[in-house]
Amino acid sequence: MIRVAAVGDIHMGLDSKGLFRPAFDTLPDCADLLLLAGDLTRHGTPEEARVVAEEVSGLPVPVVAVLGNHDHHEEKPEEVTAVLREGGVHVLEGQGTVVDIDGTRVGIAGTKGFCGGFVGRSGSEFGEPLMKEFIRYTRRCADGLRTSLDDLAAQGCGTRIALTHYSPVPDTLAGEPPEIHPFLGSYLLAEAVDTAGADLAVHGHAHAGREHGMTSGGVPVRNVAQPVIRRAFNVYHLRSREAPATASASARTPG
Amino acid sequence: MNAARPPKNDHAAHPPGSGRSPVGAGTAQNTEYRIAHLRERLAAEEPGELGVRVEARGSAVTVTGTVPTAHCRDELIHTANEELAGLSVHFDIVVAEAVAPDHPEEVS
Repeated sequence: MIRVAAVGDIHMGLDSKGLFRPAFDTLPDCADLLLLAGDLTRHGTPEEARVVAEEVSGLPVPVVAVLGNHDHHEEKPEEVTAVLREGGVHVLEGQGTVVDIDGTRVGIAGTKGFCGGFVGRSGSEFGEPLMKEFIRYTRRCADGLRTSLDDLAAQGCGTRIALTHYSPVPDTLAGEPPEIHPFLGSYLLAEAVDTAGADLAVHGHAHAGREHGMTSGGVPVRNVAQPVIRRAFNVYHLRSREAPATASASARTPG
Repeated sequence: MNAARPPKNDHAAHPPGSGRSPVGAGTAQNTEYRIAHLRERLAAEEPGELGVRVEARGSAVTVTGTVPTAHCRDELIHTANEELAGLSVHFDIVVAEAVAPDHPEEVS
């Protein structure tokens, strides 16, 4: 069994130093790793990132994160990433990382993701260059997620998790005004997850959404935005799986 | 979340509650624009917009959502009262809990 702790949208600022540490100190008793699903800061300043880094520094479980849109606001995502990495956080963007848990290789593929909407109600690569680039950026994020999941399968990870900030499915947006769903996620992320295969997809971003959802391919989705879960983190127990023989063999239809 | 955040602009520079034209002052349309300007100001200032919902309901405005700290809640209430001066504003702002969960979920 793999014990996955996850939270997103913790939005730390200089006034929230130490807020999560008492809860994070309980992680070794209940989880094998901690996922941070973006929007770790309020405006994406290196100072705010330092608060986050100190909050998780020295934890005895691996910490894996993606950035969110707030973490980009000051347009210093590289600095934010560097500060978090100095604090020992594995920050992913179109990449994967492998965590060894008692001999079981668990892979986490991460991307911030982006907007665009969901099937039948989505933007498309058509018209003005800005509109095309809007969707192409989401597509690049999704392609990075799919490639990373495939690579993790090739590296012998039987259990794989997709970590994003934006949502791959509309299920977990229930409670948000439908008019803003296209700004909360994209079906391209779900398609990447279903194509490559995963055991769990974790995201944040939708503060007024709900926790539980599922891709059309049957992968469980959890919205761990802190205003949704109302805890410092939630813990999900996943069954350990045998590693697939090849990357292509990993493309399955979970269910 | 902060969906559909517009680029930074000069809305926040206008005196709170002043409006920018006497035309439409006191109308429902004016309230809508003031709500939009509040959202822009929240995005630009200290607390960040943080997924707070601001809606006109009847003759009042409701401000609802969950924020990370009591400081953010105070800042939000102060900014909303300033920007929506003269309007009746109802708040339901929750400060997020940061306690550890008491049980896991078995994901099958």
